[in-house]
Amino acid sequence: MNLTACLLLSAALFSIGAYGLVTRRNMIAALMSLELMVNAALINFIAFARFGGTHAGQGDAQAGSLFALFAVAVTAAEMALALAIVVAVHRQRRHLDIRELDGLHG
Amino acid sequence: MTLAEFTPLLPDLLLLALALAVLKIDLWSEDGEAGFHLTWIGLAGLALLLAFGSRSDAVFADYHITAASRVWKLLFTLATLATVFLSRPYFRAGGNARGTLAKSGAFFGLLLLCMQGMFALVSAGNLIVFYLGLELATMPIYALAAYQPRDADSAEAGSKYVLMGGFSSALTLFGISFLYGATGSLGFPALEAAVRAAPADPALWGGIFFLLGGLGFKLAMAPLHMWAPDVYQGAPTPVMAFLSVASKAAAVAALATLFLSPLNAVRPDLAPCFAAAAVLSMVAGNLGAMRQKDLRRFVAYSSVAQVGYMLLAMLGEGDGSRAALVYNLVTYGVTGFALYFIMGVIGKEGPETMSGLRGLSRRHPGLAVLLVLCMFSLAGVPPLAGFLGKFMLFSAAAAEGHYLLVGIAVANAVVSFYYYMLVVKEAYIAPPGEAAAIRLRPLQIMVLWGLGLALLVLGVCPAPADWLARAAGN
Amino acid sequence: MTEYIIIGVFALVGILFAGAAMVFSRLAAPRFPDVGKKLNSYESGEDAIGSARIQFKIGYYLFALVFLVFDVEAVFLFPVLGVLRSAGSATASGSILSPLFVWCELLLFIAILAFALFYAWKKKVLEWE
Repeated sequence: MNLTACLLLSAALFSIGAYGLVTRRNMIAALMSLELMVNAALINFIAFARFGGTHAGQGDAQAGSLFALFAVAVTAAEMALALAIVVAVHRQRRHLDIRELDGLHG
Repeated sequence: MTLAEFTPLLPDLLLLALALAVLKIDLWSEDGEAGFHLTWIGLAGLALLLAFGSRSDAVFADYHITAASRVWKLLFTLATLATVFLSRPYFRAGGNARGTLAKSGAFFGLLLLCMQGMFALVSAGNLIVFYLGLELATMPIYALAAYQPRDADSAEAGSKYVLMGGFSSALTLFGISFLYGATGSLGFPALEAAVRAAPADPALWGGIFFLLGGLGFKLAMAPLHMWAPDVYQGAPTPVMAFLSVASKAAAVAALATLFLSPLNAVRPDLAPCFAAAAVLSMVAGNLGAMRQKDLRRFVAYSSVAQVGYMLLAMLGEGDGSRAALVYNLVTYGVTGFALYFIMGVIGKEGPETMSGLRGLSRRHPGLAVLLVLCMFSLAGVPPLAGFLGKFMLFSAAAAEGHYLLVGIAVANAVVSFYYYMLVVKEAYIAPPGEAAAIRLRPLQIMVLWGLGLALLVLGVCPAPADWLARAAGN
Repeated sequence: MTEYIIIGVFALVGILFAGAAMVFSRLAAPRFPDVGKKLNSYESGEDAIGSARIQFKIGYYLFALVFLVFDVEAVFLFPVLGVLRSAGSATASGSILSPLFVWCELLLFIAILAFALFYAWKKKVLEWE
């Protein structure tokens, strides 16, 4: 396991997430894709904290781990909020298909 | 560390206390009256404290209280205060044709929490605080956008905003992770030193582009603006007002916080990027705004164009740019809120659309005049506030020699005059049939007069601009 | 560059290995398309009743939401306690964090969380009717 492997993994996760967000029609699936993208960033943080980044000299390894921790909490809150909105959409429309969400237009 | 050393932190702590107090009052008060009064009195007090209170700078580990951050905070506070006043009729039965909003305590609580995030954002001395501030400044708005009860459009706006906002925060987070990898640190001073030492690091540039993408979404800068029209249209009008002024100011502050200080060394290399985004935003905003019938959607496109003008300042040099940004946001806020209050007034009986403005000159001549002032100011016609705001932005870019861009911006401003005049035209078309006179509430009269005067004063009197420039320039 | 090559080779070998196994089993395995018996429950397994897609009560969701927030927040107490020991020495940005300051921050943090719980409680999130 080295830095490059971790970065490749996170890049793959991020791309899968972005692809899923664009292509999935169900809103919950889109949120899951979003979670993948965030997790890619978390892997980056931990990898940089563990192996050191591309910079010269001593980095602050604690900061990266700590950021990952904060990001997990923030994402949890964000997803909770997103799911609440999903419930609201479902109540109004009885479906969660993103492409059918076209009530707003100019 | 003594207690006296905490006085610079007082506004932030008071805001937290205010947010919790408003939420607490909400648990007992039935009609939400107490929450409304507590919120506006608290916010007014906070604004006074920020304007006239402690002027000393302070550093609390990674939370920096500076003169510039105080100016931003004052701006956020005033924008939130105006939003609170604007939302007043929307919570009253029969106050708005679209339906009555409920649960005002939670609404104000969310607004205040959002403001807390903006406060953290401009005080950040570290990417963690920056990220947390940015997220806290965005997340309550997801809920607020979906606040209109039993309204499919509002739920749709919320869902679109939460997906797009989530995407943008994922981009931001991914970008920050690369910045961390490239510099090995999250603190702004260390970041700045590392960027200066190795400005060509590919990891750094990867980080910067992701970060710029994420912030671009938040800012609704073209080509990342497509969420804005839908969200603005679907959200309740007070939330749209908050989005277009306070939230936009927060995104601009985020951009300025990062790219005018720790990442300042790479900003000249990013100039083509900012220039392209500026031109795209102006064109996309202006072309989009021309075709709109719904006023909220119209505001969205017009604000995209405003972002284009504001991005010009990112090409200029540090202090002047920051002052120009703040001043433009102030003038945009004043103008915008005058328009939103007029929308609130016509929204009482009819839809908040262009045709809803019809007959305004008959129903209330004063309001029609104010609407004309607003539109002139948005278009940047000389004696009004919007002109001076635009002038400062353009001169910040011109000082760095970007004459072509300034030319394009001026051309766009002229084009925008056309569709702003379309709005004015609607107000002076007489509808068939009898037009009932509009009766305003005392609060509305007071606020509308205040905003109208500010529109004139900020345009002709350079003193506030000087003061802001000095304060924001640090 | 060699790292990339190693990863490429690794991925290739992985795909070939898994692919070969799948292709081989497809070729070699006998096939009995007898659906009825195959779907029976095995040994003492229970027969499934109804569909797996049932509607949950919204109350579960609210509970999970409150739990989720507090669950994640607990994680923050540990780093703060870690800092508490070293508080009193100068930090990177030059300011000195007194243990009392850190302690007050911790209390403030917990107080805000406690308020959130109180708010949820008063809003009847914790009631199960």
